[in-house]
Parts: sequence; structure tokens; C-alpha cells
Amino acid sequence: MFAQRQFTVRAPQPRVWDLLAMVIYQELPLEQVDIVSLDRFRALLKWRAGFINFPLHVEGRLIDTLRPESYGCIILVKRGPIQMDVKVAMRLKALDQDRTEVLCSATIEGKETLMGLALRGLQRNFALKMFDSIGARLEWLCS
Amino acid sequence: MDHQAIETDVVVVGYGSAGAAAAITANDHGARVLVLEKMPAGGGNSRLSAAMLISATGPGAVQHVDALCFGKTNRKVIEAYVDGCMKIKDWIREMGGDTVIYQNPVVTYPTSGFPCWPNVPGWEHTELLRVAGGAGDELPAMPLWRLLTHNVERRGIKVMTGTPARNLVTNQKGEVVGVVAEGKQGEISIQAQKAVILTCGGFEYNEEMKDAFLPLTPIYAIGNPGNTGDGIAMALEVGAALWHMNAFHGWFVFKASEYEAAFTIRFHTPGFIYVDKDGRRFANEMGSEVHEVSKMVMSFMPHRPNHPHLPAYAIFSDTTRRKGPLSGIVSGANDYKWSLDNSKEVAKGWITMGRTTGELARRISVNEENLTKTVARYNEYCKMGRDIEFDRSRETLEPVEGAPVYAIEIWPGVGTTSGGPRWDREARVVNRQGKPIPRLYAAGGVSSMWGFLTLSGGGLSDAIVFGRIAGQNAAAEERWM
Repeated sequence: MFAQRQFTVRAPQPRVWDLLAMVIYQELPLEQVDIVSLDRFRALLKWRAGFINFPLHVEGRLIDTLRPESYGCIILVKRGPIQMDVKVAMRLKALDQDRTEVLCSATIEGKETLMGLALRGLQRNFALKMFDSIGARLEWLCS
Repeated sequence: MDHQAIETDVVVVGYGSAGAAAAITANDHGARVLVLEKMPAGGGNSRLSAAMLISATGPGAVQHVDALCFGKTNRKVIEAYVDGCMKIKDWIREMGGDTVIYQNPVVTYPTSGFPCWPNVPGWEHTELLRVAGGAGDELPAMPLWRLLTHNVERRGIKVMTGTPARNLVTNQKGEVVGVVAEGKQGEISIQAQKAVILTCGGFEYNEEMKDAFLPLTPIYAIGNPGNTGDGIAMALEVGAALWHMNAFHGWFVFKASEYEAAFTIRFHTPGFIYVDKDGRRFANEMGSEVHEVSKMVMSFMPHRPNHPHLPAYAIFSDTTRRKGPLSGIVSGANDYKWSLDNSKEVAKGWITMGRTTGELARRISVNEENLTKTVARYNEYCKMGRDIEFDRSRETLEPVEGAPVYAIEIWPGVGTTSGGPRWDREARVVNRQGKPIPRLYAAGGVSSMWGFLTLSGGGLSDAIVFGRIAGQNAAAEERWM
């Protein structure tokens, strides 16, 4: 696991799950989203690291998605020598009737490449930034 | 012209999901079955659908479906539907397939999926499924369609494509005893020793019927061009009663003159609003299940000159344009691949661009002052997190800001009409006195049980559930000769 965040949202678990999918796709800098099958999509990820833009073609596949407990996606990133499968998982847990804990994690699936390892810091920053913005958006929506 | 005569037990008119389910079931109950399909290939609207299926997890789902039908469908029919939905998973398994819970791969707007109507009680007793499988970039419905056709073929059920049924044949007792069809070499008389099952689609491409029955004009068709109301006309000739004739389900669409079918319009991000010719919003853009958005434009506002709100326009930002293709989320009948960033459609003039909202308004001939104010007001609501005009939900308040700004003309679109010959819980077509017309059954788009609203997956489930009921009951009929 290369990035993890945990936050609490002031809303019941099913409500947070329903918002989660919307918020993820609103916060991720995706363009040209193409739904290719019932559980897969392709898109252009406008990844920006500092002043450098890295537009990456990605393919997403839903996994372990079960209302209202979990939401997951394997994202296949491909650009030149960069190729990796990133598993993004969101696990929801009701703390009580009105509060839900969300645990976000990002993991590299399969074999690590040298290029992937070299970019690990950038990936971590990107993932944490996304998790933070998802958390902030959820908090705002449920405030 | 040659004249051919064929004899069988059950004739199924139309080869989509309802027809396949009816044919398989009738065959499995001992009947000889012949399927007629007027198009060169089967599949109908089922093949173009998102292939969602409703599974009921308990009889509590009756309350939900009943509420959606607004009293337009007999409770016993609804009970039969829910009972069939409770068995749908097992039937798919018996056919050699498997089901999985349906999840949208990405969120699109207006939203669809599950639950469709969370505020209508009873939805907790339903699930949204799809048939497992699917390879590459094939249409979403292919796993289901492949499963059905495989089961038809392995039973040796004969399917005659390119063979439209022209009329039903009745005997002196008023029983439906056959069909006259138009074969490739001439007319074919088909004797049906047990029954005829109509499963041949709605009237989406029959302009005369749409004009007579649907509440607005125009309502553009999206799906299978073979759906011209043939089964309804045949049923009327033998005295069938009608139901649900003004109900239809579909999306907002864009109609390009060079294509027969319209293009469904949906967004990958909520950064858009709908306005009418006055340049004013007229509804909560996210306030309806996606199959029922057309109901937004049916309200009548006597103090406004633009009644109803047509043509309407979706106004959206450059961020929204780049997020994903406006059409293609639901498979359409046109052989056209919408560009992923909508740039091709801007270049074609299907999408209009303006450097400012005012310029856009002038280009689409909408009141400039109103549109500018409407967009500015909506963006204010986004900042506030509250839509004080239409109560659009907070999570969907994404501004339409920046330059350029875009518009696409939208009209109501029909995926499937609901009306047709009235039938009972046994899928028997009834006459105007409410009595079954002997040996005539119907299922699927030719006449749906959905009387007012529907569910995502509701049409396909209806087709399979009542296709199976019709197939079983048709096979159980005594041979008339």
C-alpha cells in the first residue's frame, strides 16, 4: 500500500456510499471518459505533478463494489515505459447512525516496475491529494 | 409469388428477449415452436439496452411496482411480475448463465441505476442485476442476448428472420389459430395448433401511432427501427383491448437529420442545466430517473409563451464537454461513434459554441438576457450549495462557468412505448369485454405492464417474466385440430 487516508463523514453510511461514486468521478481529473462495458471505462487522466502535466490513458475496472460497504476500482495506467495496476479501495464503516468512517487506500497490484518505483513519491502525493479532496467534498456535502 | 404453408404448435412473433424467453419456455413445456422476426437479425431493443434486470427479493416489491404504475396496472399482473422477478436469477442459471449485481462503471447524469426511486416505498425488496460476462467493447446486452440465442439454438427452435408477420388468423370460434407472414419467397401461412405469442416491440417508429397516442410531438425514437407497432395492429384486428397507450420511457435526445434514430444525451459530470426557448430553467435536471426525464417538458405553464418547453437546450461548460461523450452511454441504433471530447459534434454543428453566454444565446435564438441571468443565477446556487428554484441536490450543483460555453438542442426521446394489447396475469390478450382472446398471448415491448413510471431494468425484466409466462401457458393449450 503506498497511500492511505481515513476520515469521518457526518452522514449515515448508505448516504455516504451513494455520494462516494459521484464525488470520486467529480474530483478525479478525468477527461474523455468512455464507458466500454458494464464494469469498465477508459479515460484520460490529467495528472499534474508540480508544473508538469502527465496526461495518462487509463482503464478502470470496478471491483469489490458493494453498497453500502465498499467501493473499489483497479486502474490500469499505461504510458510508454509506465505501466501499472493501481487498486483504489474505499471501505465504509458506520460509527453510529449519523457518522461514517471512510478508509481509502491505494495499492500497486502485480509486479512493480523500476519506473513505477521511481515515480512512487509522485503517485503517493497524487493519491493523497485525491483522497483529501474526496474527504473535503464529502464533508461539505454532508455539512 | 410462392405460397408456403407451415404447421407448428406455437408461433412467436418477434425475436427479442420476450420472444426468446417465450420460445425457450414453450419448447421446454413440450410445444413445437416457430419464431418469426421481421428484421434481418433478432435482438430488437433488448440488444441495444443496458441489459439491466430487476430481481425481487421478496413480495414486498409489489408495493414498489404498484406505486410506480399509478393504478394503471392490475394488481394481479403486478404480483405475477414480482413473482417472476423473484425467479429470474434461477432461470438465468438454468439457462447456463450467471447474474451479478449491476454497478455503473462511472456515474452519469441524470443518474440511473439503483435504487431508481429511493423515495417510493418498497425498493429495498428489489435488486438490479446483469448477466455476468461480456468481452472487449461489445454491447452491454450481449451476454444476455448470447445466452438467450444459445438456448434457442441448442433446442433447435426454428427462427425465420426477415419474415414479418402480417396478420393473425382466427377460426369461427374466434380462436387465434395462425399467422400470415411475408417470407423471402412470398406469403407464408402458418398454422399454430396451440397459440400465437406477440413479442414484437412497440410503436416507436410509427409516426401515425405516436401522433395518436403519445402526449407530445415530436418524440424521437432511439432504438430498433423494426418497432412500428405491427403487433398492436394485428391484435386490434382480432378485438384486443388496449392499455398504457400514452406511456413511454426514454431519454432526452438530440436528433440529427441525417440519422434515422435519435442520439440519447447524458453527461459525465453534472455541470449542465436545461433551459427552454425562453432561456429559463424549467426543472430540477437531476430530479427524475433517467428513463422519465421527458416528463419534465410536459408541464403546461399558461403564463409563459413557450408551451411546452420545447425545443429545450442543455447548456454546459467546457469542463463538461471535455469530460466525456454526450451520447453513447446507452447504445443507439445509429452506426455512429460520438467523439470522446465532443469536438467532432461541435465541428458538425450539432453542438453550438459561444464565447460568452450571450453569444451562445444569440446563436441558438434563445432570449439572451434570460439565458445570461439563468446561468449566473444557477452558478450562484452552486456557490451557496442550494438550488432555491428547483431544489436540485447539493452534490449535483456543479457550475456552468468559464469560456467557451455550449448548447445542444434536446427533445423527448422514446426508447420503448408502453402501450399495446391489454393482457392479464397469464399473459393472455384480453378483448374489450375483458375476456381472453383464445390462444393469443403477448409479452415485451408490444405491450408492457409499465403504466406510468418504470425502473431501470424494468422493461427487460417485464419481457422475460411475461415471455416465460406466455410460453408456458401457450404450450399448455390443447391443440385445436
